[in-house]
Amino acid sequence: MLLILAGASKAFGEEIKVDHLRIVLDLKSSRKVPKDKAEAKQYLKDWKRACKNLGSALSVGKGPYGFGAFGSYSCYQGGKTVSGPDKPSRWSVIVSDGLKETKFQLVHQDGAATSVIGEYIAPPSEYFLKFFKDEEYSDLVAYSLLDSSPMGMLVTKGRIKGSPPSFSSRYWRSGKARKFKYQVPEAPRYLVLYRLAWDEDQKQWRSQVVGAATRSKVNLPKKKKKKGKQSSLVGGDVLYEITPAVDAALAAGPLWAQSSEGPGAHKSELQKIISGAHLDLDLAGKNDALNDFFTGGKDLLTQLLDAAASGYLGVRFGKEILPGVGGLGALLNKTKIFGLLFEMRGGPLKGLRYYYDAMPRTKASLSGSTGPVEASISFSRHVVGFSWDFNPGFLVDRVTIDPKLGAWTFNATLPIAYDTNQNVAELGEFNLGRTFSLGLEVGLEELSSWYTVRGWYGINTGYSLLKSGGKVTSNRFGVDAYFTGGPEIPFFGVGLKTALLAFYFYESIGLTSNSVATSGPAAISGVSYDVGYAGLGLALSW
Amino acid sequence: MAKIWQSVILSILGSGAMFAAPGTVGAQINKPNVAPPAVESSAPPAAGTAVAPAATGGVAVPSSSVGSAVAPVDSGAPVAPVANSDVPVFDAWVAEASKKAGVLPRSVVFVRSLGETPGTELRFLPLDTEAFNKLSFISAANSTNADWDFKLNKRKFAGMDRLAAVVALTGADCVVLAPEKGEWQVIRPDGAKRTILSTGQAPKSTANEDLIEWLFISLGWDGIVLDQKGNYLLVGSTSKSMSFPQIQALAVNDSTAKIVLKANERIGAGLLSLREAKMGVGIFDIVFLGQGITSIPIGTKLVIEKKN
Repeated sequence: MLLILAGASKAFGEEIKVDHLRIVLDLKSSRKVPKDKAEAKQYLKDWKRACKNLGSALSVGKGPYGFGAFGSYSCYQGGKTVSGPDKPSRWSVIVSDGLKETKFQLVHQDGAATSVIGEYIAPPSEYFLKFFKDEEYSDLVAYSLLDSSPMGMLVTKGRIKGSPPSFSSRYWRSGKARKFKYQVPEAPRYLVLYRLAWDEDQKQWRSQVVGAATRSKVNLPKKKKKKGKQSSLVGGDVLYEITPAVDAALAAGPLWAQSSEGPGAHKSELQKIISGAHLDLDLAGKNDALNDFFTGGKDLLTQLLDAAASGYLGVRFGKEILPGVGGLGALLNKTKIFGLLFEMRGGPLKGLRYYYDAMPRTKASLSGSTGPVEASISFSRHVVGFSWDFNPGFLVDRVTIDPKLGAWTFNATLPIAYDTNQNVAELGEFNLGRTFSLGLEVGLEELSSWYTVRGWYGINTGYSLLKSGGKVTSNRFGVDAYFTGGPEIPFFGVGLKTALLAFYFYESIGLTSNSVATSGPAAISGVSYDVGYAGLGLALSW
Repeated sequence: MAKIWQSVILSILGSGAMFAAPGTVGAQINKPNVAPPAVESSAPPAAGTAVAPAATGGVAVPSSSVGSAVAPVDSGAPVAPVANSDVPVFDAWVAEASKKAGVLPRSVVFVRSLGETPGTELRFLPLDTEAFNKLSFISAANSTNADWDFKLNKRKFAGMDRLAAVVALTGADCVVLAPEKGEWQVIRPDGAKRTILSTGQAPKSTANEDLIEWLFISLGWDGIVLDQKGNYLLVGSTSKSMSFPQIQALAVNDSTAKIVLKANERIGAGLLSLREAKMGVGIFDIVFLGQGITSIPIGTKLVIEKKN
């Protein structure tokens, strides 16, 4: 009453100020910018595009359902401007492309004090910045941030049409896809329209509520086929009817509007959608199928199943190429190996490995001290492993660590002693039967779009389960190369890509047998040999 | 008029009254040497007098039938000022007084629920603030804005005491906890402390008029001194009380620090008469002061003559 008489009403009549927005890729909390010039350039390019698409969706009237609160935006990589005007603002969006998490924060600055108004955390992805190529994803992130903001959208007199007075806003975008890829949050049923001021003394927002708007109609977007392109969803809008009080107030200037449930009321729902979208997008990225995912070229479920099942199945053949010495060398030179390999490189079983190697029984007639003797060797081994990998950020693209479990069957009759004429003096039986083996392999991978080169080193030790058995140990290292880009073979609706394999490995094997002659003080109980196999193979990837 | 009321008061208070003899009023203004009137709650109401609300203990003040010479005017219509060149200019004085400290309460907020028990939320009583604020000098916080501001500042208020949050949101110096069921409370928030000033039955409705009436009954007084200039007092009250020209009031002695007055705390400090008013604010002439009283300080509470 006193205030009314004194005419000292609070100065809310001031024109609404639409702020500039700074969108910052926070380098401290983000993965390292690639050192390679070309990759660093690509990373910057991706960020610029991401920032542009996000900034646009956060701008007044340009977000989904009419949301959008900022008049302009500029993009920063750390403290460096990468696009837009470098001007101060009390509003920032901080983006973290971290190795452990992806984070978006809407930050309000009041002098030296900053407060996080809205925050969303999602699983990390090395393809994260590319996600913004998708308009649907950009809408999702922008809407989430605006939903948490004290200003959701700006309503101006110019937007009001018809009787009863209403305004319309665009619907959620699907990007290039013919259907929405993620859950689409519902447009708010009711909006509160208000003037807003920041109370610097109390450090809080003060509003002057003018009225409300009610969602009166939703026109969903429709599938439309563009010439030479896949069909996609276009159009669609949401209509809000305003009260006469709001209509009258708009004559004096624009008003802010936000869901009547208040800022941040949908945070948990939006957080879930963002996290889910990240998992799907990351999977698509890992399978080099991001663009397919964006266009929705395949049904989403099929894509996910595809991604979940992605991997390699290959066969290979190798021949021993190291020059052999003596009788054992002569035997080993004749050996060949056949292999089957199966690797899961995506999906929930990513990292699972299975290898089967077999050396068919190979015989060699050797000259012995008392006449010809026959040496032979054969083995087969099943190995199951699981691969963990990480990007070290330098030298190679990926480091893998593969613990392995295996079962070896090893049967050989090998020369274990020679006379002075280098004739076989004694043969040893190494019938280890089925051995249980443990192994560990470390690999370094260099990846490109058409090849993968992998250097590796592994150790294995197998223990025979037979009483008369023994032990087999293996130290080996090698190089594998996969060359993709071969013809694609259709197989039950799935396109199988072909790849050529080439490999070489060196292996040092030590055999210990419990049944080998143990007479005398210098009893021989084992033998060791080195082999090197080179070969080729064929793999199918899906 | 003053003589009439004065004689009525004397007749009510009988030998216990300490007013000067009738006919000396004009002289008393500048000679404040008369004893203050003892306004006792136990005094029986005389015939033709109105009884103050039971909650206040029944302070007797003259009724309109006694002051029949005073013609009631329509509510909200300005009371015509008596020509006098040294009377402060009304609007300028109101503006000046609005900046002065010592007046409590100036603003009130009605809260349905503080949301302090699980499953409840902070809710304000919906109110037509504009209409409410025309009915008295006490302004009500805009419940719609407060409600929305609470949502806008949810992070800030997340861990804050709810009463403190209500004050931060509204700037009110008096909170009325007004649940849908049960008794209502007038609460004085003071930092981390909260003082329940009064508890009573809810008003018969949440119409603005009923809320105002309930509030002043709960406070135990009808007006408050906003400022003093010479022989004039600027007084905050209800528009209804201020709508009667030359209505009279008793200034209650030693009441500046009290927000709620009890019946036995109403010791008269002086007699006042309304000169000029707009809505819930009026300029009163000091008719006379009690013995030893030299001024009526800001924040002094008034008991105003009741008229219908």
